[in-house]
Amino acid sequence: MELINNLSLGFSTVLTGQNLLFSFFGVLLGTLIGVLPGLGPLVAIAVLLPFTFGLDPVSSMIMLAGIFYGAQYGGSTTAILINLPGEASSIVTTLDGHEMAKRGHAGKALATAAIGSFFAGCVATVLIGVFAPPLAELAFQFGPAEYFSLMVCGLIVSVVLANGSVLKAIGMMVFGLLLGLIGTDEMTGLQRMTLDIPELSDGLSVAAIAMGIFGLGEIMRNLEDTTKREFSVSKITSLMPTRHDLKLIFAPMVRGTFLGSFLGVLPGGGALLASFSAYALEKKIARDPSAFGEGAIQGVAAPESANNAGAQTSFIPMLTLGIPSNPVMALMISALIIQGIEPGPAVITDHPELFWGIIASMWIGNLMLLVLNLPLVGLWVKLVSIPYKFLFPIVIVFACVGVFSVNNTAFAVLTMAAFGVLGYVLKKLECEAAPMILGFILGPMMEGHMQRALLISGGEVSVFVREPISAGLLIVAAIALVAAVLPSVRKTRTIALVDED
Amino acid sequence: MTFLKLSRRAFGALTFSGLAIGAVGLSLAAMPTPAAAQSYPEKPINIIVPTGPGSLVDILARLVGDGMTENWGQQVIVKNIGGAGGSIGAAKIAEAEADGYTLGFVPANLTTHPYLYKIKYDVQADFDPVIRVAGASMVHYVNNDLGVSSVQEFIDYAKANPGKVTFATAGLGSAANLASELFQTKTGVSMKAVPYKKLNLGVLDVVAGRVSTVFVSAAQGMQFVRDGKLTALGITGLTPNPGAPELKPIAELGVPGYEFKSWFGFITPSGVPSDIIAKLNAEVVRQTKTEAFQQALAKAGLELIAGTPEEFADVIDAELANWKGILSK
Amino acid sequence: MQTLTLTNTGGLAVKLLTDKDFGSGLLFALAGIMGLVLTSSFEFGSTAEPGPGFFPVILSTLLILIGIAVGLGVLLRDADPISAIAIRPFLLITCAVIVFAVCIEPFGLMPSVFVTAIVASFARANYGWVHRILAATGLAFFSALLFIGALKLPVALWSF
Repeated sequence: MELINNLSLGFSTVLTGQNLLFSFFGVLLGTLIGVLPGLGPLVAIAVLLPFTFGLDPVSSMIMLAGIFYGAQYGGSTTAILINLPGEASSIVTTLDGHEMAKRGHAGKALATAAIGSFFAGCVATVLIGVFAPPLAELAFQFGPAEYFSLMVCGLIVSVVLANGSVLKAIGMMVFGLLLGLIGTDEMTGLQRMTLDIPELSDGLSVAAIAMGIFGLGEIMRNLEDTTKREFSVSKITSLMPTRHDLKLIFAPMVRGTFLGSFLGVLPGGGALLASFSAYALEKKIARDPSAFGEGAIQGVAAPESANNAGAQTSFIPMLTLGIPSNPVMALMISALIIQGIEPGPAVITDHPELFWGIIASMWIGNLMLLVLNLPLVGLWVKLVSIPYKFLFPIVIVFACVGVFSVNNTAFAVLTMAAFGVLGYVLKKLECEAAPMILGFILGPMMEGHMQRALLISGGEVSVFVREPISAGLLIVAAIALVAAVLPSVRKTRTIALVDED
Repeated sequence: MTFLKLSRRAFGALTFSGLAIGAVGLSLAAMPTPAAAQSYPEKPINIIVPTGPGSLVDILARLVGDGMTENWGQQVIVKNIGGAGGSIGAAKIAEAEADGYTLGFVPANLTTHPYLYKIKYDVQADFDPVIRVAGASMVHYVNNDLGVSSVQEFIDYAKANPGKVTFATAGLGSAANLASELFQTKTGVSMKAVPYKKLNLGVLDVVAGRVSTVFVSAAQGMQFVRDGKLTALGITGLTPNPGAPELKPIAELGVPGYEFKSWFGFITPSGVPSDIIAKLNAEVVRQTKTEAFQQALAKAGLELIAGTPEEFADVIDAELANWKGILSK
Repeated sequence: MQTLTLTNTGGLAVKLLTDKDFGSGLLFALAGIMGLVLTSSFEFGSTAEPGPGFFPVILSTLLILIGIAVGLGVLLRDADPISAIAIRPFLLITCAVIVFAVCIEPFGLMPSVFVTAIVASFARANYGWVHRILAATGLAFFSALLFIGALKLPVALWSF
């Protein structure tokens, strides 16, 4: 009953002219950005962040959220049609989605992705509605020790997810944590590792680091290939899947949705982890695993449902704990803070219209995506055919303007240049950047929670295992880490992640 | 749909030139006006805010800045230069040219900078006060399980349990920290600081009993008091706090002479012509009357001050003298 | 035999310097040493009262150890050399971004975007001057329209 009241508050918030418009604008822009390779939601949100200063909190969050899952959606369209994931979480969709397209089933693959995403969107909306309030209640129980252990847990998840050597991934994570400590120490006000550069006193900018590594680093690598990029765009045939197809995709869709919803809640999880895991799961339980990679429709349905569900549930740790699970969520937190709203367990009670508005907007946004995208597929395909030689300067300029205006200082642009260099080097060394970025985001928070936990307990390190919630989280982290280094898991992990590059 | 049939290369080029033609009109409209009018302001104004984006200071600065942009037709750009309790941003303000095109919007801890940080500027000599915009007293909250219901009982408890009482702060030099330091000096109790980057988590830890007490705004804690999850003992100012009208000043509850009020005000580097200061003061006063600004004040539980430059100068002098006694020990 | 040994010694140096894992280990170790140099002067404190040096010193030390472990792992297996580095996009894109950083405050949005796009276009071969100018001009106007016209970002359009 309460859920219905809450959701109706949400829908009444969203169903105003202004908010519908912002939601529409968000998903449209998000799709556009998701379709264009190299332009992720990160760039879009960084560019639009200063613009949201002038909006009210609900409208700005609805728009930013729309960009986020719109991009997710657009990314799958290009993954299927031209084998080019517009967004990292669509990478697995290329495996079977593009294969289907090559065999003349492009329309069916697109429809499966759309239906899967929409189904997941609906279920995730309800799941968030049901589980977020109790989770927020639980979050009230969270003290420094619990926050610290939750972050350890999230970091380990990102390490397990990373491609390649576990040790290298841990190294990247620690490197990120250390980078996060650059700036003014909270407790003493001392300048740490700032090399006496005043701009560093507030730390490095997340947007600059993330765009440098993911944006610029990616462009540098794309341009390595001096041969012209030719995309073979698959023809779109009939869109509707048959009754038989629907039967085939139903179970993978449900599994993908629930797996994705669960993984999205973990800090460090989110859409990327969700899509990879869902694909791996389907492949594992399939009667005929060899069909995967050869155009199996389940291989589209499961990851597409999972990444959408994961994208939505990753709002839960962001809103209720103030813990961002990825750079996009870190920017969302900045957007909220700019509005004077401190993400944390009190958001649901203090700003119910914001919280339920975002959730309702997710459902409406998904509906818009469904209606918007199937007919517009042709247009998106045309957009993809903008030659890369025109595209990459646009991405560079957008990244520069975005990073500059988020921080209002040219120093952030220089930071981005430096991290572009680092990003390219890391790609060459096959060090995955995701654990580093998450470490960077969580570093200062983690130090603060650790210090407070120790201060309050009077210096007893055992406090982290004495509190039951904290101990539970550390056990989960330990199991995940052990599992990742066990030979049998390593093997499946390699298979699931091997196509990433 | 014909353009969709064009070659890809032509399509790309066409997109650009089409947009380019559209943009010409816009750019002409937005071109800087020639320096015909000699009156201030004739170029964009920067407001330096010595905190990161999203803080209360930042929000207020943006509100005033947006209003000024609209009224004066000159862009007013808010620049966040955070770090070291605001002393890095303050240094930038002090170094800027005193032409009225660089302002600072600073919180009350400006007057503690000489005693807490290594700074190169002199708070009295290097800044010209423009206007003290708004301010608020804070509320003294304690965890319910301490079993204290008055300031005096809290003092007794703290003296009976040395080393056990902790207070949440937002770091050295923050308002929460200063209010707590002042409390310790005036009462002789000793409390251990637990620093938070975001004090809202600190308030939650006081609610949960992990930390004993916190001095923070009415807006950040009174909700918990009304829900019975937290105890409020008194306010740090001498006049009633609109966010917690039922609470009495701590000074009247057994700690005579205790007074702490945070404020936010505009300053400039010293040497700005006094007529420009007067114009700025009048404009900020105008901006504080807008509905948006009033709403922001109410939401944050702030009282409007909107005084004169002289009033602001007096406050700065008095506080510098006050903190000197407390912080430079 | 002797020649073979020589090649092997030379081979080891080359193997190390071009190996992905050795490079990663080196990167980690250098970052850790840097962290240690910059933070070891801060008070370490104790677990009861961790100082500003507590967390960074622990992290730096850990990073150095991980770096050593990753780097030495190379000796146990075959070389895994890094792929060819494309100097041209690497340098020019970095330059383009630096140019933007240098230009944006003194010159404003449109000139900065124009110059940045021109520099960036050199990152790719076979980019004719006609396209280069056309793309940069178009992008400059488009940015003005989008960022200042539509999004009203607080950036000067141009200033000299």
